[in-house]
Amino acid sequence: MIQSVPRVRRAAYFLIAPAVCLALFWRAPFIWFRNDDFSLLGIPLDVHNIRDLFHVLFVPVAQGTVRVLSERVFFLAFSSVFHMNALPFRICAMATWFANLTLAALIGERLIGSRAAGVLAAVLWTANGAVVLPLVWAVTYTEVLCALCILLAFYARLRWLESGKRGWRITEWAAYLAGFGALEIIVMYPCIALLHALCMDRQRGEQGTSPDGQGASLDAGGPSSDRAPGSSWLGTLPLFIPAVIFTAVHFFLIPKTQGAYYSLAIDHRLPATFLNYVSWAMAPILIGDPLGGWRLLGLIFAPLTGAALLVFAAWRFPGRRGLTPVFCIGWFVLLLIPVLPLPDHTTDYYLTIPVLGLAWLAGWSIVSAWSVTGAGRLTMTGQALARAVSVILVAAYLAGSIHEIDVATAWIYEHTDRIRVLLEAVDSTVRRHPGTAIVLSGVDQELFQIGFQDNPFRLYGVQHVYLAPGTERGIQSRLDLGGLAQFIITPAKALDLIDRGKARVLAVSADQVTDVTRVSAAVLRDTAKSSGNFVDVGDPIYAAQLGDTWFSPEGGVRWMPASATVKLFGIDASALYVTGYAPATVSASGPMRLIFSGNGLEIGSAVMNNANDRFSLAFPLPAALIGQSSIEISIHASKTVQFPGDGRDLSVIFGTFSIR
Amino acid sequence: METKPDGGANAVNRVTRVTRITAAFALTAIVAMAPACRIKKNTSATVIEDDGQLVSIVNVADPRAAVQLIRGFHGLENDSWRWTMKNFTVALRPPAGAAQSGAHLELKLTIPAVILDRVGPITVTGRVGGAELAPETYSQAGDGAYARDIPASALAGDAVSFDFSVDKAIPPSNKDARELAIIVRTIGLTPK
Repeated sequence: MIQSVPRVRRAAYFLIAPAVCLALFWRAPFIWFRNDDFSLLGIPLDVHNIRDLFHVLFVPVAQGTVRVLSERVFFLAFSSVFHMNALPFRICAMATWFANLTLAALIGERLIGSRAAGVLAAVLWTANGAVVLPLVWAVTYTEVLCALCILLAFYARLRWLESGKRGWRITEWAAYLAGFGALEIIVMYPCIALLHALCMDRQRGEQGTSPDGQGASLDAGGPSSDRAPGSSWLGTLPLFIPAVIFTAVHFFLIPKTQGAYYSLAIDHRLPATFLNYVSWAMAPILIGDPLGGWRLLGLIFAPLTGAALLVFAAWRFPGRRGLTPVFCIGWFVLLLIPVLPLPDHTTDYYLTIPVLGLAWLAGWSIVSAWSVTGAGRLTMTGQALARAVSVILVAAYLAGSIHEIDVATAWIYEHTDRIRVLLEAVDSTVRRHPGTAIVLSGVDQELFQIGFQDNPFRLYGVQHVYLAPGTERGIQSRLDLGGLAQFIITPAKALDLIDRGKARVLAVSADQVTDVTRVSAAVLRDTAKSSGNFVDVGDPIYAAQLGDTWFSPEGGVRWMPASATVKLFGIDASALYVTGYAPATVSASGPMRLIFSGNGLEIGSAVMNNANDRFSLAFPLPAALIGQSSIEISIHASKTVQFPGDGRDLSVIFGTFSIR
Repeated sequence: METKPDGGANAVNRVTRVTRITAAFALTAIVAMAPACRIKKNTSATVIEDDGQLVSIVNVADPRAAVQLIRGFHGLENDSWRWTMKNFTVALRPPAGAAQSGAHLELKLTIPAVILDRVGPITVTGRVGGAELAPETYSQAGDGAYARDIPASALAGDAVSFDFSVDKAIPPSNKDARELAIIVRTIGLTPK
């Protein structure tokens, strides 16, 4: 039985884990928004009436998720009240997390029969690198809130089993049902309750024949005669009804966008994915990343910690509390199951809730090693060895985790602060120059990745943001989020916008933003002069210089229909150069004539006679075109062909056009 | 209602204990948050406007000149240098008198040993206004320069773009998604 101690002293125990959390995550209040946050921060912009409100709250998005409480209501409320102030988001996440830590300690106390073990488990949980993102990234509040729902439901269940009071039963159901508004893994809660009930039933059976007087057990509710009605495993079955309905609706009724990241795959990769998560849970999660000595630490201690926990669980198994390790490991496995079929989207924060099961087991093993009763079955040497092992493993775990949390929170702080500075500069610029487009120079891969593709600019009323012409090269983008196309602008178009006062150019550096519109105009004038004279029709970057009739690019080239146009710039040009390819299928039915003209004046023509002819043509420009700053080249083909199964009228494939 | 004889003392003790615990938690929180005082905040969103002047010598670390790094440069590293891709372009302001007497182009670069080890000697070629500058091959790791005289005819206008190409580079990989060719510190035009 749990000892009765003064309530205040008991409360002090439970403040330890939140205090450790604050010490580890001291940067959290200063961390700004990133990535998906920007999409969700825009929710208030989409609400104009009740119908919109219903839409933003309940209509599934992306992978079919409807996280009403943890995403929709959370962002709608906080963004409406606090706008782009991240601190209230962090305070909310931290407060919820403190509640989680307290519940984790209380549940651990009941499962293990030791308050110290419960508190230790909470400390080890909050020191795990898996919780970094949920505490510093608003969009992953889903994990924090879902953890609260699961822990509160389970704690209420334990209290109901202890007291039989209906209020706790209602609390369990309320928290459980609220979890459906937090995160999809709530569907595993009935399995947790079932596992607990099965372990408890089995334990009761063993208690009758094999008394073991050490501490408490899973069945913290006292003698079996006091059991609450429905506390057997059969009593957990009603919990499955909402989970089954939710799962069926999620899989069969809600349409989902296709994408590699979230495609489900139940195949040979499952064991590897599972082991990956196990290794992340046991040691610094950045294991596998180039962290030098820390990586080595992780590689050494992840298997050692895992082995030590398994040995402890096996050692405890024959005893009265033998099924508690099963429950702890079951908690980890069951709550991880929903994300295992996502081999292309393994991410550390998926461990946030599952890893608590291992933390309870670890807390219990440490307390067992250091308590007289816990180590009672060991010899003096065995006890000394157990204590030494526990100290070494905990020290390695904490050292790696603390380092990892420090590195991760520092990285996130610096990067989110970069985009904060940029967005506030954009805001300041559009206030001074309303309605202007923004061209950004100096954006590197890291800054781009921190949120450009989630369109944070619309939150400041900016419709058009481009990367300075040329700087988009080397930036990797996600095609499923629209790729780079929306950020690309040609030098000629950028210059045109600047000259008409419709764009400002901002240069972004590590810690400041400079309006370089004037100097940029001078650079663009030179760039447009030299680069506008060339078009690679297969490269989307030149799309703005192409007429409407061109077909989409294929493998770095484009098919032309019967006619098309290309716009080129070049004051001193005297000749037109064209490259392309006439496939055998086209020339098989006889020669094809291509006629080129510029601004309505004929430049020249060429006949395609040979099959699979790679052509490279050069025509002197008519005198009337020399000196013109802009020339629209028109191309007309004398015939077109159609391929079987392809309804397009095709003439030839073009590569490049240039005037020099 | 009957009051226990020590009820008042217990209440006082409890209040004292609550105060101690609250104070201890507050102290822990303050100690925990102490490092926050050291946090380095980036500047606020004050946007400085440029003076409209291009520079003739671009230091790749100078944020005001970043706009002259037209393409092919990766992010700034160690506040002093940048990796380039195989092809990169910079715009420079011709120095006074360059339109009459030409200028001297100098690209200060570093050939990293890692590049030489992976791809062997590398050749850098410059181009301005359609005219190719003589290439130069580097077979030793370390600091170096690519320097050429530029004729006056290529230096008309407020800005002149210089294209550089490196014949070999480390291609993007899972470890580093960037194409890495050489390291550049400054590129500049000086009067002859």
